[in-house]
Amino acid sequence: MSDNNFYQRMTDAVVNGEVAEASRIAQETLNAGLNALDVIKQGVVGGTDKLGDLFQNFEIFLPELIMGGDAAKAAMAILVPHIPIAENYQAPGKIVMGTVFGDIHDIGKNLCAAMLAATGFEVTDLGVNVAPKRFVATAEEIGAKIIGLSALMSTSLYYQQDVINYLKDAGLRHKYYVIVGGGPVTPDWIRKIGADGGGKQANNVVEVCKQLAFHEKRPPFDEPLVIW
Amino acid sequence: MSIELFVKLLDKAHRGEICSVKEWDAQRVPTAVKGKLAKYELAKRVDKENPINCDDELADRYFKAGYEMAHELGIFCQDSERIIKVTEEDLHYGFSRAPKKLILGKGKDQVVMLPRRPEDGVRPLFTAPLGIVVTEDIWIPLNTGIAMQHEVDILQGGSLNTVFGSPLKGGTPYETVGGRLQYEYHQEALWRAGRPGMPATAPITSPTAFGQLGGYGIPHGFPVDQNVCMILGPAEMKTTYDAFHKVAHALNMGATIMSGASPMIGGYAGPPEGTAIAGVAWGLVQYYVHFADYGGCAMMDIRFNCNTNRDSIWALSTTIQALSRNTDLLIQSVSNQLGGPMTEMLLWESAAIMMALSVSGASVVIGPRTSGGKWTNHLSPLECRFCGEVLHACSGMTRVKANEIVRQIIPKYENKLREPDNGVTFQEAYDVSTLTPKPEWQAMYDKVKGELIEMGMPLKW
Repeated sequence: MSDNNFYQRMTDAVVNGEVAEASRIAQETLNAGLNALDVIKQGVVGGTDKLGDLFQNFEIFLPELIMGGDAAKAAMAILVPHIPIAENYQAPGKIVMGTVFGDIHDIGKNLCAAMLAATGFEVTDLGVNVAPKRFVATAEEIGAKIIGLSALMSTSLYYQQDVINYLKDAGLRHKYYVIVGGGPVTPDWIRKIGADGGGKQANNVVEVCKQLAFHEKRPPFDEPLVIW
Repeated sequence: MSIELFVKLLDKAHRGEICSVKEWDAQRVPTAVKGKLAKYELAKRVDKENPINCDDELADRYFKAGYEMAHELGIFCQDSERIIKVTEEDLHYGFSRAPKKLILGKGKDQVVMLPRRPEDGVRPLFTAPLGIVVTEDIWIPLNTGIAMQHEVDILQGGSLNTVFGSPLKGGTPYETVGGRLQYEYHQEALWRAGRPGMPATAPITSPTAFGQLGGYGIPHGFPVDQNVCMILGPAEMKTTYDAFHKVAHALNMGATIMSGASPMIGGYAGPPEGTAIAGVAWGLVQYYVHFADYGGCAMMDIRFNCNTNRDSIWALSTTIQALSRNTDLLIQSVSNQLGGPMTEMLLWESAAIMMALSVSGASVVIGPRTSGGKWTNHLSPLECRFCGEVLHACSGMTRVKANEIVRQIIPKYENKLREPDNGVTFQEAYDVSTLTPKPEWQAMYDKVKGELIEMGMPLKW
């Protein structure tokens, strides 16, 4: 089987949200001696790019995006440890995400989490109604780079600020980029609470995270990275 | 008796089939929707040139699909991560206990809600506004201005985000205090507007159960005999313990219950056609799961966070027609606009969605969600009046006529949905001391209304 054939099969597995198949193909490529980074770039990322395009055009919807993200994540888990050191590959990193305390809405958070996973981020989704301390504890535990805070209600927005305050009080603010999103979030709010970034739509959030993942400046930012 | 049945429902939430949130969202719901789309040949049905559905047979097929989905899929309890099984008997119990007529409010401010059919001449009720954040300093004048609009039948009021200046944090005692404080402000606004008996859906500032427990049905809170208790789910086909706390409290109080949630086009149920099926299923199941006296369906498009684009108008009109044609239930729906106060965009969007919901058979519509509900104080009484005028004027209009008009309206705003005109705040759009719109805002209203009349909408000056 040619390399291109492997890449195409991986792309198809990701687009079709076939988690077990993506894992199996990842292992097959390694067994066949393919370069893991090439498989990621040509196969996995090819699939995730296609997923993004299909969603933007409403040819697929949120469930397919979630499953595609899972398939990409499964393939990456097998491939990343086998990237040759000389390739100097940098994964985008880990993100802790959730809907803040007092809020049980999850569709926006799920959309962002799926798109981020499909972009190669390792996403830990804490679900909904998450207490500030839990975001920070999980970020510490898994070595996250970014904390993503979703809120749909004006009455839960304050908990985005609480997480940032908790990080400051615990002397951890410099360790994590904090991004915020959700219905009532505005650029003014992002600046007011001292978050590091935010976006108007899920694809904007992904772009912000991609820039933060490789940003030279450590948090916190004086001026947040906002794509609106 | 209801409370005993409610406990049995809770038992189901604790003993039902275990299912992860992800499995529910990414597999169970989409699989069920796809199955119904195929079985009833409902895929690819959106008619962008005629966004208000005119096909009764199609609406009826959506009803059958949604009805089946409701009792085959059940409802997911987000807290216990179990599926609440719903039988056909359960659904029919919910329908049987729901009233066929509701009298809300008191005295001269009393209003009557009745079941409606598509193109029905029965006057639908209008509830205003949707939960837009309004600061404490202007909460009373702004909501007084809204209550003064006689096109507004039920006052929902803006959401508070502070209590006595402190952040109103959901799920904390601030929220409990907020529920009570909202009533004090609300009562003052009604008194100033001269409509003390006007009903409310309340309290709007209740993201968890605490706001309701602190503000509804208690001494010095929203009186049960005048006001409706509002219970919202997090998404279609999902409920939570917070919603169940509210149901328990409402049943204990003998309250009238309104239930709702917004299925998202592009979300768990997929395309507009799938979302319409999920909308029907959710619309039906609330009468059992939330003991709704009136329920129904809102809807939004995940790409724009509004329901004034063609896909949303089609899906929502089809959903409401499916429910109103095939039941005698009181059906509510919601308008979600993106334009802000002092923009023509807001008025054109409002005209399109209010007309669509009126001719589709909604018994009550809640709105507007001015500026997408995103910007604090971006709300004014004038668009509330305008929404009510359109909703009421279009009762009895045919769907064919409504499509003729909506085809002229949508091009006036649809290219702005990605970058909407957010407009201005209440203080910028109004003279707060006299509660009258600024001349520029009044002129926009007059212009758009005049053009709508020329298009054939039976509005009155």
